Amino acid sequence: MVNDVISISTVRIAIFVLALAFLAFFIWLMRRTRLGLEVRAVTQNPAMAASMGINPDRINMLTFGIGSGIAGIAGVAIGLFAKVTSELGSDYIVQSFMTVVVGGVGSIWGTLAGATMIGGLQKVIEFLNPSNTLAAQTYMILFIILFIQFRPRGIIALRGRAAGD
Amino acid sequence: MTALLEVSGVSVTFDGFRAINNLSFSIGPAEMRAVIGPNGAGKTTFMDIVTGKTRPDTGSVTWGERSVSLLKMTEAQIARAGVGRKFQRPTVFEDQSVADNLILALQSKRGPLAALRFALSGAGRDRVAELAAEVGLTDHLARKAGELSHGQKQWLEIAMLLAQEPKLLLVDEPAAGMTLAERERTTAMLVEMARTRAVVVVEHDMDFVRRLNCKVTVLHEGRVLAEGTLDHVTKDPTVVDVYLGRG
Amino acid sequence: MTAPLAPRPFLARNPSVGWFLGILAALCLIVVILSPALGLDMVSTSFIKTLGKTLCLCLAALAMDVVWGYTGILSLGHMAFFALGGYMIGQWLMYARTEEIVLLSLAGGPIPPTATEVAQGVATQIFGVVGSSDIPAIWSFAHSLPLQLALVVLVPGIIALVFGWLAFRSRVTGVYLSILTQAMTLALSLYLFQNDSGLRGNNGLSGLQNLPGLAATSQDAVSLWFFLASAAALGLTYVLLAWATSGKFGSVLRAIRDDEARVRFLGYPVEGFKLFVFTATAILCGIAGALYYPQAGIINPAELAPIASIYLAVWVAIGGRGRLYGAVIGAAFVSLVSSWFTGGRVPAINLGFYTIDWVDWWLVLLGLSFVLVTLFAPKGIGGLFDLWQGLRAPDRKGAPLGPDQGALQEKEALE
Repeated sequence: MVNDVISISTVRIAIFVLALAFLAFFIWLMRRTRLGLEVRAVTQNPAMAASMGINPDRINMLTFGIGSGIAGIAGVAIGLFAKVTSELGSDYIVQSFMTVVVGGVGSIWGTLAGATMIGGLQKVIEFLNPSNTLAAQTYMILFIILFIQFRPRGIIALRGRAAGD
Repeated sequence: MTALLEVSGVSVTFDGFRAINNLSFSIGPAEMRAVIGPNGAGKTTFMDIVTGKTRPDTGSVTWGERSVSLLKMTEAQIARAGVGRKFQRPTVFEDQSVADNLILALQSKRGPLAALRFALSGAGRDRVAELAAEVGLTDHLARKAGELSHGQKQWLEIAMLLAQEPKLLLVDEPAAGMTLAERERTTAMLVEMARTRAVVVVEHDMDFVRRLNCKVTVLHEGRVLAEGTLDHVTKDPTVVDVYLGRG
Repeated sequence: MTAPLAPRPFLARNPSVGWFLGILAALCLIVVILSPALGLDMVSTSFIKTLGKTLCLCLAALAMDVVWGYTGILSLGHMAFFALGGYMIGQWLMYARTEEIVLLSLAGGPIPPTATEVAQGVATQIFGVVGSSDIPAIWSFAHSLPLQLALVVLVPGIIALVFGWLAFRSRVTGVYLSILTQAMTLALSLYLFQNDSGLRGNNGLSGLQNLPGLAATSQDAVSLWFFLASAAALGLTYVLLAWATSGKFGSVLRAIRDDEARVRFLGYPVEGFKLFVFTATAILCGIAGALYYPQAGIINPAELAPIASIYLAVWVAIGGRGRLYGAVIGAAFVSLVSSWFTGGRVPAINLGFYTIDWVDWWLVLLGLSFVLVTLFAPKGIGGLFDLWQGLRAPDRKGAPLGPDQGALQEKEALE
């Protein structure tokens, strides 16, 4: 509780803090650790990384594991305020994909920017058209399709020759 | 003689790095030219600009007698205008037969509807057979291109370029990975091609360039350092300094 | 003339066409003989409907195979086109049928009903569930079968054309394109879920199995005719696609799949080809949907959910992409097995401590088999035919397919 006008539940603050903590952890992991270095190397050039003694398969497995783990943490956060069902994930599949695409694949800040943009925009559209969240989501997606026209690689795109598919 | 391709004052910057710096280049309709230069001199970027893969920041690229600008055209339109390109690594369609690869390259209307209606004419069939014979792949026409050896793929790609009948041929390091005998055959073939069309060869190998016996353009840091016969440029002190001396 | 270049007849180039048409004809014959309407009454009408629907799904899978297996565009939106085709035909079916009922109920009155009265009656009947009594503008053509049939082709075609033009023009490829198509599907489905979309929100369109003007004809006959029409559409499409993909067109498509940049340097308008294939297959899916939903009887926005398009991709992958019969086998096999498992006719397995009920466990089985096929038999069920014929694809030894990547990176680097 903040005051009588604005109220923010403690759970949401906790989620916010949790998200910030994991963002910091993830940035530290990618920028400051040996593992992060190897992950980035494998992303840019798997063959070259392999010849430097990095096992790309091992890195792929580890990143898949880390990614799944972080998604699991996000699931915990969602579970704190939304109804948990076995189909909870499917509601977020497309949204999370779009966040990454809009932000720019391979960039933490880009993903953050994408998430901020998508979340913010969704609330703005809902505010302008308060009766209908379905319509809001439809316009949101149309906006993203148009956005990709102008920045096909997202807000923060990988540059140069490393940006292959 | 008017130039077939005229590149003037072209510059390209990648993330602040100037890959091509005020480059000018021109070649006539039936001419052989070798482009040499150290790594990072902008040879590949130069080819990318001509084929439409990279858009320059400034400058102009004009083509043909009517001086059409290539800068507004897509890669496919530039290829249809008559610019053929051979990549460093052989790039053939490995999942398709040698014959299909050649038929794909053969001169024809390129649109989807034209491709649907396409039927190989007698003349086309003869041309494919002729090209296959020329590069020694007659017995391999029915095989998948992916089954060919590295050298055979190189030859298949050269045959595909011939089938395209380009007016200008850009060849990136043709001698890479070839045996001595194959190099000699490649040289002869390139010289033969240059009788009727423009050929630009990008090459590291000096012996190979010497065998081509043509005008040489030396690139360095994205611009033309020297131009002339091989003997002329190898005597140029600046060239010796940046390239040959260290080479 | 060298032998590999000699022209060969269509059937020699496509040995699967003869087999396919033969098997399809045999299936039709057997079904007609066993049908309740014309034959011995040994299979149920609902089974014939299931078979007819399966053939429509096979048709959609064929389209998916051309766009994904041949051209390499993993579209996660083709089931949306399928459902749109269903909605378009559903509009006419529902409108015409409701009009009949309204006319019948008003016929008892002292004076013949006016056109406005009829329209109002129809509107309340159809749109009462979404709290409206006006006919929305998108129902303007619903009174006319030819116009709605034209829309079956036009609506998916135009949406695919506009979407494809936007996407291919900016050279969106690979996983980005898949996500974009999935977003398009989601947007369409969310839009249709709204009550004011004009298509009855989440109620969807129902009663589609009742054909207007054919109230006297039994469902036994109707289902058989739809089954035969689906079989004819599937056979025709198979021949058409076999023709298109075995010639130079197919050669260009496979070349685009394997090395897009190289095809560009040969002078082919890659974006034009992709747009053509994307739109044409969307239209095929629309037609398949228009045949499917009168057999299913009901359509609602859940049919457009992204998961439906993912299923389509799974069918093609399990059947074997890049070969037409693979897509048909995959779709037929998975959807028939699925309806068998979910139909509750498979005996549950009692493990003592737990009973495996296949209605619940079927999806797990499907997911598992998809993972297994992807890992151990990437060519799918269709790959078995290669073992039989002793064919082998060249081993690339993991080498990348193309030269450098597309032009996009440099373009962006300039910004």
